[in-house]
Amino acid sequence: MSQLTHIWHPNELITVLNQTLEFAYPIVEVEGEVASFKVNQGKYVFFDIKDETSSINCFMMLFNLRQPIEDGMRVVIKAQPKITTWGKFSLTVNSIRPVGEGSIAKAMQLLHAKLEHEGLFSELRKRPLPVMPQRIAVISSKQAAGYADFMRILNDRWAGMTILFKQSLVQGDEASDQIIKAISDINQLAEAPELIVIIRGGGSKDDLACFNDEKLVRVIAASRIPIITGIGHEIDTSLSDLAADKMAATPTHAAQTIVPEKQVVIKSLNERIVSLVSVLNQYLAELSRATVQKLDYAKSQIMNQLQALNQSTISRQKLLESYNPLRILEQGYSLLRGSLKVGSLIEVETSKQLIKAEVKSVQAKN
Amino acid sequence: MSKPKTDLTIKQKIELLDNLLAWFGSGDFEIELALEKYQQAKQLSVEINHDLETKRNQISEL
Repeated sequence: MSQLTHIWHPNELITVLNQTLEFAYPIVEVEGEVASFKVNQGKYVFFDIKDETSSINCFMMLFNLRQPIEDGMRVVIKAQPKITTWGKFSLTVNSIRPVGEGSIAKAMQLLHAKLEHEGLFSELRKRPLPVMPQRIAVISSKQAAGYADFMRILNDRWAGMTILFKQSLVQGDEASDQIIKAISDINQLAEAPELIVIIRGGGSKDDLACFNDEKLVRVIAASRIPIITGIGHEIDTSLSDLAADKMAATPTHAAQTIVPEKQVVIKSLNERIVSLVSVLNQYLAELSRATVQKLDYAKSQIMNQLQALNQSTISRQKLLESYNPLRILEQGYSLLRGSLKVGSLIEVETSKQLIKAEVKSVQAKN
Repeated sequence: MSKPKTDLTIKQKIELLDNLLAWFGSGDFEIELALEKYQQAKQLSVEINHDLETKRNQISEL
């Protein structure tokens, strides 16, 4: 005999079953292969998640789709199970992420192509990093090995900086949202840093998958503060690395890129100061040489002037001497003094004698 | 009014020193002024060395 005591209406049954599901399984994680993936009206995403024997309908909003998904990819979804009004069992998906190297690589390849086409990775967008930044922000996890390496290298290489540290998960489902919030918060600081550094150490493709999140990549590209990434090992290149202004191979390399080595700077400064001494010495030597040259020139000019003056004086002396009346007397001429009337006494001076004479006659010459 | 040297960051001091050294590159200067600037450059170099060797990076959490 049946133990049924209540006759259900379909709507009622579906409601109760959904309440039961919500209570017992509020959120489930399901791993499977994507099939029949499609986007309707530019905002609704439908696909099936399946394994070898079963398949479940899935639904999500497009804005929750953080990475490109296509049929055949293996994914893990977080979803709420429910029964639709039409009696179909489905999963309302909150988040989806590819799993396994193949699917992760495929998702990254699809997103890479999409974002590259939009120009997010263009070299023209890259801004130069500040030289010797005074104030930087670091987004990482203190538990991450990469963080410790980064800080150690930074502190060894440079001094006097202000470092604003923002703790964040750097792997897992919540990592990309935390990093996005960190970047957003830092961009809104009243006293903004000159540079944002995002770092984490090496890990598997799964561990680093959060750095291929589309929303995170877009936020990095849109940051008004330049960003340098130092994620994973040398062989790991994420889409966040490509969108950043500078990509460092590792957290250590990021520290080496951001600041110079202080011993190198000190050595260079000291060498420049020493070279300044030789510049000054050289200048003084040239100054001294120039001064001596000027003095020599001045001296030769003065000597020339004196000689010329001397010559001129000698000439004048000779000329003056030539006008000396005594010179004329020595040439045989004589000087007469007195009146030229007949019978008057005159004085005749020659170069050697004074003669007194009487005028006997005076005649004019023709 | 310019900042006293004690308030300047290491980077600012290096920039000041670069400017002083560039002045000497012009080649044409008065010796008295050159000696004065040399002393300034030397003093800056000493300060920068000291700052790099003794200062620490300040870390604060957001």
